Parts: sequence; structure tokens; C-alpha cells
Amino acid sequence: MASTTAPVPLPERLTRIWETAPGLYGVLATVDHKVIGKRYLVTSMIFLLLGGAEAAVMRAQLAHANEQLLSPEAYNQIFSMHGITMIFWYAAPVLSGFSNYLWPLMLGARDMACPRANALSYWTFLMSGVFLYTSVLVGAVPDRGWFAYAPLTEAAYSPGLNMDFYAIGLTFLSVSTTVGAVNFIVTLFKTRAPGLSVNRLPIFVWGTLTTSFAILFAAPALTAACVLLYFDRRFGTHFYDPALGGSSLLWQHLFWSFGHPWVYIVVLPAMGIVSDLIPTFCRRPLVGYTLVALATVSTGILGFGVWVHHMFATGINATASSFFSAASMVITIPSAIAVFSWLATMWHGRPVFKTPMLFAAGFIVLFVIGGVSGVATAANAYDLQLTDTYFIVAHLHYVLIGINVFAVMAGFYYWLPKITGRMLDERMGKLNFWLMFLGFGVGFFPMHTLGLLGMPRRIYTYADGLGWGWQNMWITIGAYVFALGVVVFIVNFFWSLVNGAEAGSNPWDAPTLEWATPSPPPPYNFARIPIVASRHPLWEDRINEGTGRSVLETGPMLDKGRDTFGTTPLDAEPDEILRMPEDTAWPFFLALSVLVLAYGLLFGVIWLAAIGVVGLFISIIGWFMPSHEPTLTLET
Amino acid sequence: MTAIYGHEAAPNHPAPQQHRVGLPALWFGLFGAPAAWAAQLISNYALMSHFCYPRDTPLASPTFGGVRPLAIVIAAVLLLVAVAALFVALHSWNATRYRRDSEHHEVAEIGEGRTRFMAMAGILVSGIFVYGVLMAGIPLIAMPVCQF
Repeated sequence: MASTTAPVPLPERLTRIWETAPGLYGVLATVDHKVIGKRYLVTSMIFLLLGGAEAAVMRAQLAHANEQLLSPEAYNQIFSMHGITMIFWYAAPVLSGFSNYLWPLMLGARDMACPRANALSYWTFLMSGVFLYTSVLVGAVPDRGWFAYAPLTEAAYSPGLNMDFYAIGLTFLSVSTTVGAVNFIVTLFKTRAPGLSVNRLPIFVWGTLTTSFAILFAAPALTAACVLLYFDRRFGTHFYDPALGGSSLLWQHLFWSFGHPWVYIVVLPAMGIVSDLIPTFCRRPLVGYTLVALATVSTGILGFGVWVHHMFATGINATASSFFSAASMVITIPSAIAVFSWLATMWHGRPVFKTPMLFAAGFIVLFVIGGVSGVATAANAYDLQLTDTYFIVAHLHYVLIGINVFAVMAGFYYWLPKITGRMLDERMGKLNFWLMFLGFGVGFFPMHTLGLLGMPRRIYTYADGLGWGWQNMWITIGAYVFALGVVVFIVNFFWSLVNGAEAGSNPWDAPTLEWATPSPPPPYNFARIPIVASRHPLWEDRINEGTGRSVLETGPMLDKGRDTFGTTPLDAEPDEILRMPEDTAWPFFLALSVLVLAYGLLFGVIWLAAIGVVGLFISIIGWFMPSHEPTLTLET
Repeated sequence: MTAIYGHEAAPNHPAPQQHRVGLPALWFGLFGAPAAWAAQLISNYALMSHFCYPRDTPLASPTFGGVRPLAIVIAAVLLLVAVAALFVALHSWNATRYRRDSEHHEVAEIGEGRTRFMAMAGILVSGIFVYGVLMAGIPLIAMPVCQF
């Protein structure tokens, strides 16, 4: 008698296709966007803690006049590493973590468009960070600030390996950011669920898309700047040496034409996080969706026309710099559009102040304060009075902590239940918020007045009797209260992993696609690919949006392999079925090869660099070895 | 329309009015003004820097006396491009005004189709960048060409 085999249920079939192999190979070879996203989040938060610890030491040094806790050299190293770590290895990568984890879920896809490139992006991010921090082990920590102004960074004035770590490390990191940006752009224009046209995207997706384009235009400027610096330091070129035909301003132009767009790179997705969670907690769609989406894009474009406002004090033509002053003021318009949209959404909705919403509300307050001080410094004449004072330190922290960290915290409280399957504790969450919000206000607002009183930035100590002492002590206390808030978050996270209530698929009753999956989502994301009919697929019946309804339960299965739909760029019409690549460790080995190459260049050891180059080529060959698996067509 | 939209209870096409406005018009409405603004910023900065600070020495007056008129002419042309983009976006929006995707009237809040979304986006973006071109034009009239 012939035996019959029961058909394997769809979720099980898909799990077998999409899950990562166990063991060390799986750790190195996974290309699952969720795993990569989590790794990005954890790694960037570790860098946040490192940068935060550096800040804590700095604040101890500055708490009193004439404090001798740190030598000037040590202070230079710590304030440089604080800035470099926070801006390059925390602020942007943490948003990449959210985007990597959430994009395919929000877009109704099974993975990013280029999963192996995604893995490469993470591994190069991690290894460039390891490279940077090995500078501590050899006692050659970058010590010329995160901005590394030439000619102070030239070999004559900075003879150790310190700034070589900086130049090579940032070039290394730009591989990660560039690869990641390309992947986001391709994913957006190629792998959305059918029906998810560009007018239906979550604002967070708009934010990351805008920053991805910005990275493609901005990152080459930094890479070029760092490569030229390395050439000057190692090969005796004179790109930044005015005495021999170079220009120290060339560094500033290259650095800031990257640097200011980077500010928007680290805030636009964060603004997107807030734009997407406010509607959930106000029980209504975002007021002015189109305006906010395009304000995001406009900000990204305008962000490329403001870099000279970092250089008003360098002696360039005031008329020429006034064009950038004008652009810096125009950029307030899209920012104001976003703020008024958030406020209108809250005004017209029924806000529920759970922890994510508290952080979002705090974010708005800090966004406005940081924005206003930014407009002040956009005025050429005013900026000349404030340049290199603590007013600028206050402004940049209102922007980077207020707009990035508060939004990131909001994002964690909002999406961690999706990622871990457990709710974070609300009481600890509220304590977390108030410690961070009040600590931030106490710690950073007085920096405005300190700056107006004339305290310069980047000084390791100050004389007694200047009237700055008590304010600095106040700032230090505030900074430590803020840090305590971060500690509460970490405690809450680990406590909730064990004791948190089960989240279920949609604990906040949110409207977007990621909440249609289980928490945590299975390796394949969606058992059936959704067909999307509106901007709020999970709220359609409630708000009567659109004339059709999204298909979430009975869409196509695509269960013959690692398949997902390829769709058209604007309207997301399916035009092919994409066979996604299998797991592979080649991206890891490629990143490792770049790390070896980086150390070869750092120490000037040719054979070590050559090993890195050979490893790089072998990895690329292995990566692109063709697969003979049959692929599906739309007809089949 | 691909077969996927033939699925039971499947939604309508996300761009029901795509035949009313061509993509070139939508793209020009969206990016014409930003391109004009970028061109103006670059040309202004290049002209003022080159003729006021040609080598290592800042000058009190430009090496080319016609730099201000030249910059103003360039700004005027680019302002025209930006305004044209705004009008094209407005036209696209008007051409799609009959479509509503739901009972809601808030065009900016609930989707009304991809075509109308792009048209409205063009109005917003062009408006911001027309203002940007005008703002960048003020120094051309109100300030000395070379001022350090």
C-alpha cells in the first residue's frame, strides 16, 4: 500500500527556506535583514555607551575650574573620540538598524533587495569601529576633534598614528554607509509589496530613502578628504599645506560639504520615526502626510546648500557666504511644516501618552529649541559672535540628542515589542523618559548662556573667577541624570526580555504593515505577500480609506524558494519574481579583508595590505559565484 | 494591469489618473525648482569667490566688473525655471482634481492616488525652492560684490 505524505504547512515550508543555519556558520553567514538590523542596533548602542562614558569623563573634568582629572592631551583624545563615536558610529548606524529591521516589514517584502550587501554593510560597520578603537590599545587615539581641521592634522603637527586611525577608519566606514545606502534605494524602488505606491509609504521610509540618496552624494566628499589627508601624512603630498600650494580650507569645504548633509542623515529617519508613531498614539492619520513626506525630501536637498555656515569665521567672502546663510534660513520651512503637522495631529487626535509618545513629545520640544538656535547661527553676523563657544555645543546637542536620541528611544519603546515579542515596562519607561528629558534640559540648556558669556568650546579646563564654575557643575549634574535615564532603559530592556508582557502582533493598534506580522516576525516575514490598498492597511475599515481593501491573509505565497516580488518603482506593480541569494560568509570575509588592508595601510606594512587585497578579491569571487537554481516568472 | 490586481477583493490601481499627466511633467514639477536653486547656489558662490578671491589675496573689488549683472541674469533665468516648475506642478494638480480615493477631503492626509500625490508634492517642493532662489538673490542686490 502506497504511503501518502501529509503536505507541509506553509509557515513550516517557508521557515525551512528562509531560516538561518545554526552554529558559527549561521552567525557569520546570515543575510536575514532582521538579524542584521538587531546587530546594527546593539552595536550602535554599545558605541553610544562608549561615547557616553567619554562624555561623562569630560563632564567630570569640566565640573570645576582648574580641575586636573585629565591632562590636556587626554582631554583632546576623549573629546575627539566622543564626537567621532557618537556622530559616525552611533547616530547614523542606529537608524540603519531600525531601517534594516523594519523596511522589509513595512514594505511587505521578505528581505532587503541585496541581502549580501546588507551583511557586508554591517560587517564593515563593525570592523571599522573595531579598527577605530584599537587606537586605544596602541595609545594613538585620534586627538584633533571629530572635524579634524587641517593643517593641525598634518604630519608636522600630529606626528603619531592618531589621525591615521581617523582617516583610514572613516574611509573604511564609508564603505559601510555607501553599500547600505545603495541597498536601501534599490529595496525601495524594487521590492515593495504590490500596491504599495510611493504615496503610501510610511514617513520613516521617506526619511531613510532621503538620507540614502544624501549619503551617496555626501560620503564621497569625506572619503576624498580622508584619502587626501592620508596622502599628505604618508606620501608627502601637500593638499592641505598652504605653504606649498595646498589649502587648509580645502579640508573644511570637503568635510562640511559632507558634514552638514550628515546632520540631516542622522535626523531625517529619526523625524520619520516620530511621524509614524504619533498617529498611532493619537488614533488618527498624520495631518499633512504629503507635506511631511516632501518636507523630508526638501530638507535633504537643502541640506547640501548650507555647509558654508560652518565656515563663516574662516575669512571667506561675506557676500559669497550669505548665499549659504539664505539657504540655512530657507531650511526652516520644511522643518516647521513637520512640527506643525505633528502638533496638528496631536491637536485633532486623542493622544495617549505611553512611553513612546512621551519621547516623541519631548523630541518635538527639543527639535524646536535646537531649530531656533540653529536659525540664530545661520545669520552670518550672529554666527561670528558665537563660533567656537559653548552656544554651538548647546545647539548641536539639542539637534543630535534631541532629534536623534529621543526619537531613537521612542523607536525602541515602540518597536522593541515587535522585535523581541515582549512589552517594555511602562513605569520604568516613564522614569526613563523623565530622567533623560529633565537631565537633558538641566545639562544642556545652560550651555547656551555659557556660550553667550564667552566660554570657548574644546577647552580642557578654565580659570576660576570667570563665573562659569557653578554652571558647569550644574551641567555635569544634568548630564549624569541623563546618563542615569539611559541606564534605566538598559535595565528595562533586560528586565522586559524575561518579565515583559507578551506583545502580540499589534500591541499599539498601529496602522502599518510591520504590525501585521507576528512578534517577533518569522524568518520569511509574511507567509503571504500582502497586496496593499492604502497608506494605513490595518486601519482601512476604521477610517474608510480608499475604495479597495488591502489583502493581508490570502495574497500570493511564493513558497518555491527565497522569492519575493520585484515591483515597479512608482506604483509597485509586480513585474518579476526575484530569487534572493542564500546565506553566505563571503561578506564577512570581505569585510575582514578590508580590516587587514586597513591595518596594513595604518602601519605601512605592504605585505599585510597585500594579504588584505588578495582576501578582498577572493571574497568577491566567492560572493559572485553563480547559482544554478531555477528562478520563477510571474506566469509560473 | 497585472494579474495580481485581479485577486479577490484586491485594491484598485494606486495611480488611477496616470493617463492624465505624463511622468516628465510630474518629475519636472518635483525637481525643476530644486535643480534651479542648486545651480544658482553653485554659480553665485563660484562667481563671487573666483572674482573676489582669485588666489591668496582677498580683493576689495572684483577682477571682472560685470560679475554682479552676470549673477543677476543667471539668477533671473533660474528663477524662471523654478517658477515654471511650480506652474507645471499646479497644472498637474488641477488635471487630477476630480479623483478622490475616499470620502475624506484632506488631500494631504489620506491618499488620493500616486499621480495627484506627485503633483501636490511638486507644488510644495517648487514653492520652497522658488523662495530659496529669491532668498539667494537678495545678496546680489543688497550687498557689495566683494566684502570681507
